[in-house]
Amino acid sequence: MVWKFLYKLASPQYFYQISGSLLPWFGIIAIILFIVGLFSGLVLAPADYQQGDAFRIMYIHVPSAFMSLFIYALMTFCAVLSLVWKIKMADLVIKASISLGAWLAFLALLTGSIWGKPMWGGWWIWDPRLTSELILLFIYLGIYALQQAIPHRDNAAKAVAILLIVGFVDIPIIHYSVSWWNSLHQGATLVQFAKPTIAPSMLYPLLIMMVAFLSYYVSLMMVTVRGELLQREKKSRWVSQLIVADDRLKSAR
Amino acid sequence: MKLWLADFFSMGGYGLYVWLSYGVVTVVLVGHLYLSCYKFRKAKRDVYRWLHQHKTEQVHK
Repeated sequence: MVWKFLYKLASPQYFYQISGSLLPWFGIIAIILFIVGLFSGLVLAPADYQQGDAFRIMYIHVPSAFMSLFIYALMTFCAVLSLVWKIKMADLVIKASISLGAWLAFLALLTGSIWGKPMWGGWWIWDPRLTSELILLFIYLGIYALQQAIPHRDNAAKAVAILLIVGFVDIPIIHYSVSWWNSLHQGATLVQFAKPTIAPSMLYPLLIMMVAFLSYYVSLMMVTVRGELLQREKKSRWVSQLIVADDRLKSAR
Repeated sequence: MKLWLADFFSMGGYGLYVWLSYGVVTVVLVGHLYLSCYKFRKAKRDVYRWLHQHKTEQVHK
């Protein structure tokens, strides 16, 4: 049943409709989770015995970093859908996600750097994790530049899809860098089958913030895709019907 | 209450780092939100104008 739903998402009209009904929910969830997450992270969570209150940067640093990886992985999945199954909706999702993904990678590096100054004694270190995340940012920027550089839309989408798949090699490197090399960066806190090493009162706000960032991304991605869809499909009947209906609704008010 | 607020803003002495980070992230996320909504509304307006123009052309043919 899930596969049927995913297949249907490949249709522009269906995507527009379903995103229209899901959008308010994702938006509300994002707002609520941000409020709850920020309050529990900034106020309720106890100070760290080593880092004091500086550790609270974690509540925006980790979600940004996680999302930069998640968005890239999602875009790679869409790239495969686009190249193998020629699903054009996948190209739209990619186009809508590049910018936010790049910004989140930048924020991960920036907040990490600001956190590192008091904790590690410096703004930057050529540590495996930091370096591979920086490379990810460069890959994001390269994808954005490539996308803008090719005027023909479908050719641009194809080139971007290929570059995305090639760049995907960086994702496991970033994730495993803390265990493969001698890294100054903290190791994995959330390990698959073992109890997390972080205290629950510090963990729960982090999980909430991660879901908040995720909902935020999904909402914005849907808004961007919807706008792009209207423009691409303006010649189709469902768009003209939609705009006319919207217009009638406005003039009826 | 005042003492608690002072403690909260100072963040154990790390206030500059913590609030600088949160500030930048807030600006970027809110900015993106605004930009996305603006782009959507603009797309809708452009399509509306295009449809209107297209319909007028069809009527005049």
